[in-house]
Amino acid sequence: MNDTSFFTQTHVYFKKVFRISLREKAWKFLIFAAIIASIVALIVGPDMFTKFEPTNSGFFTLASACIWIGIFNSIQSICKEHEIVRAEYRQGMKMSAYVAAHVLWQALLCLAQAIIIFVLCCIFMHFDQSPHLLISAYVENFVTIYLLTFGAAVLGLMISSISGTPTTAMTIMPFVLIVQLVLSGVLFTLKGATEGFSFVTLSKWGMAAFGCEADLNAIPTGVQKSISAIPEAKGIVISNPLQSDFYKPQVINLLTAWGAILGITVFNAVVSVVALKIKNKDS
Amino acid sequence: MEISKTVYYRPAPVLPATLLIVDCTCKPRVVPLRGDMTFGRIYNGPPCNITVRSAIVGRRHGEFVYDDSEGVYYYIDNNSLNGTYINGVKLERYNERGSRACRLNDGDIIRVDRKTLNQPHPEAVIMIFCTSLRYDESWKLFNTSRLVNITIGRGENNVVRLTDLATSREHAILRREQVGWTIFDNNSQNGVSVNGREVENSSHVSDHDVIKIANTTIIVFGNVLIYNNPKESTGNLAVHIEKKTVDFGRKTLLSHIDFQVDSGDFVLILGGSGAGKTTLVKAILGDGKADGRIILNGQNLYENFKSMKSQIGLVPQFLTLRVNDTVKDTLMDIADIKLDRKNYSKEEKLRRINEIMEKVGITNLQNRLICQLSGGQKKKVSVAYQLVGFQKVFICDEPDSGLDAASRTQQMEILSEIAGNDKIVMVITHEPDDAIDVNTGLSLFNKVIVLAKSTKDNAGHLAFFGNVDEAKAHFGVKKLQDIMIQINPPYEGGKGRADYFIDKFNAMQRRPMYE
Repeated sequence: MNDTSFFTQTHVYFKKVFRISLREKAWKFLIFAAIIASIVALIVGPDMFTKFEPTNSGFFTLASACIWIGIFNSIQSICKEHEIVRAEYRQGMKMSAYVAAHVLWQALLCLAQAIIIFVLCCIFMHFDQSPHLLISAYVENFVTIYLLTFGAAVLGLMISSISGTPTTAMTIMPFVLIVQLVLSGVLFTLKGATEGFSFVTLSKWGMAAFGCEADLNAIPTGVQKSISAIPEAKGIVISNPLQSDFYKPQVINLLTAWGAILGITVFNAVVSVVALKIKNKDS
Repeated sequence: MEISKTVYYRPAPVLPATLLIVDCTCKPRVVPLRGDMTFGRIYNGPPCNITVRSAIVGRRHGEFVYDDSEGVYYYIDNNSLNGTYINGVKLERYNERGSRACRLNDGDIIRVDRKTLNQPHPEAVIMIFCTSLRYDESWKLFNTSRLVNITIGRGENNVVRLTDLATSREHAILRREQVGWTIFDNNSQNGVSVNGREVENSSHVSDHDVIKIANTTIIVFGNVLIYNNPKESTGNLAVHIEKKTVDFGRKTLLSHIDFQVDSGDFVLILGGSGAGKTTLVKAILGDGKADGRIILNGQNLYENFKSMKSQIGLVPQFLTLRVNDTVKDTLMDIADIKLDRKNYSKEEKLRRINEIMEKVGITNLQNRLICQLSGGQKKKVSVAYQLVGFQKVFICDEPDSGLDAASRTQQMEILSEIAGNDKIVMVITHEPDDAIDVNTGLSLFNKVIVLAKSTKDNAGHLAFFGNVDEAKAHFGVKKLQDIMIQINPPYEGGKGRADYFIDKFNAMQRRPMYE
């Protein structure tokens, strides 16, 4: 009886999500983003691009902030309406359209947040000191910020889809954030299985994108800078163990990082659809 | 009007034979055929079984003869003066008694007229033999005297609008000619026939001809079109549950539940806590499949769940709508989901929504957010939400909870009205006696299902299924809600007679109705 298309349903649900989000004061997510970005930019911004350590931790903090902002956007958006979803699924709703509508709304919301984060970062961070690989350092850093926030938002949707209640989702969220932070490869050197796992984290690829864009490997560490200032120490080479092949300023590295973030995002969206279908499958 | 895409026409199930008669009074009537019956005009002598007002019909013009060995009807012309035409062919004299017996099939046109059928006699009589027509089918008359082109279809812009889902949106055009009409088939899905002959592209239509469009019969009668407007029939819902278990079969929640409800039924589901009402509802919805079958219109829900799930709607006890959306947006969105754009324009959907809001009594709330509504208003929105689609069965879980007595009655009246619209409405309520017709004081329910928890196996069993009066007699109570006192266990304030009534009901001779 019912054969409304995926696109029709996505359009209907996008309008609905958009309308209801505005009524539920979605602008508060923009304020959160502004506050967090201000704090991060203010604290880590001035020292960035001077030495490796503050630049590395600055980008790590920025990536973490983007992930936190993104997940927080969407973590409750599906789990709070599981009963509604179940009722509508009976009526002929396509889960893929429902998730797609949420993803589109998050894409829009994250765009606004990414603009805010980027503008605030530009005030305190000197992106212009980075070499550009494709278009300009500004554009490339903006795209990275956007993709990270959006990817995290879709990760939040995935968590929301598999969680039965908002309480469960909020309980899962810190674990997911910790995994993202630990497996980014910034705090700890990862080897073996943990390194393998890191390839499916947004933080790892976010850092890779920021790192290659900023040519992080070329920025000297504090020790390297100090040594180079001593004339007697000329010729002594001190390596930086936190250097990574992913931070090499190559277009392929940047595109790989962006592609990986997009791939994880698509995977999470698909998992959301599958999780919802399983949840609402007739028993 | 129900809005849906055009469905393929399938002949309706065989019904008891009827005769649609149109004589010079231009008032169509349906006469049930019951065995051998005589046919003739009204006169002062002994009347025939079937009489018409017409001077050209003999006093004992013909006979309908039933052959019970084959289960078919035959028509014999009694050598009448003007004769009888069947599908345009005159029955010839066979012997002294009359013509040969002509076997009748569904849709055969029996006509008493002059030889020039395309110039019918003013007192000609048309009878259509039907085994697909309901006795209570409503017929409409449409005056065509000033019209040149008459569009026929399901779309709202048609001159003759039909509701039958097998009719296309713009099915056909009837164009007036100097003599008679021409009908054009608009490349419709289910086609058009005239006097039983399929129309290729167009066909001439004379006065007194019979046009058939899927389930609709249109008779051209001078400057009047006589047509029926069949609604989609929901048929019946047969529930046959052997058992429903949980914990890997260790615990039985329901056991041996068999009943059948028909379209138009407004069914009360009664049962104490733990008797299995919710389990039964879930089983019927297909959300918690049981060992057994749920047959809707002859199709097994469990085997065709994907395609059939939307035919059974649930109005849940607690609101499952987004509270920060307006009533109208909520209904419009679900209309957009359920009614595809190809078959329904924005205007049609809007009209449908407005009709539903009007029916449920929430038109004045359409721009309010759902969170701003009272409990009763929210319940009405839930009902309206379900009405947007094509559910054949509505299951309402305590639709009256939290409402005052007047609102409860009003809510039940709305649901009863929905059932009256050829749907099946099943209601779980703890205040069944509030569902009364305010004019007659009679219960709005016409069927009652009582579930009771047996102390023998701790599973829910059917303690009764039947009409309201039978239910009261079965349990020996004056009010429906007193049934609960009879079957509830003593620790819940009842008399603990569940086992007795389960056994009593089982002892009643029942044949499986789902077959």
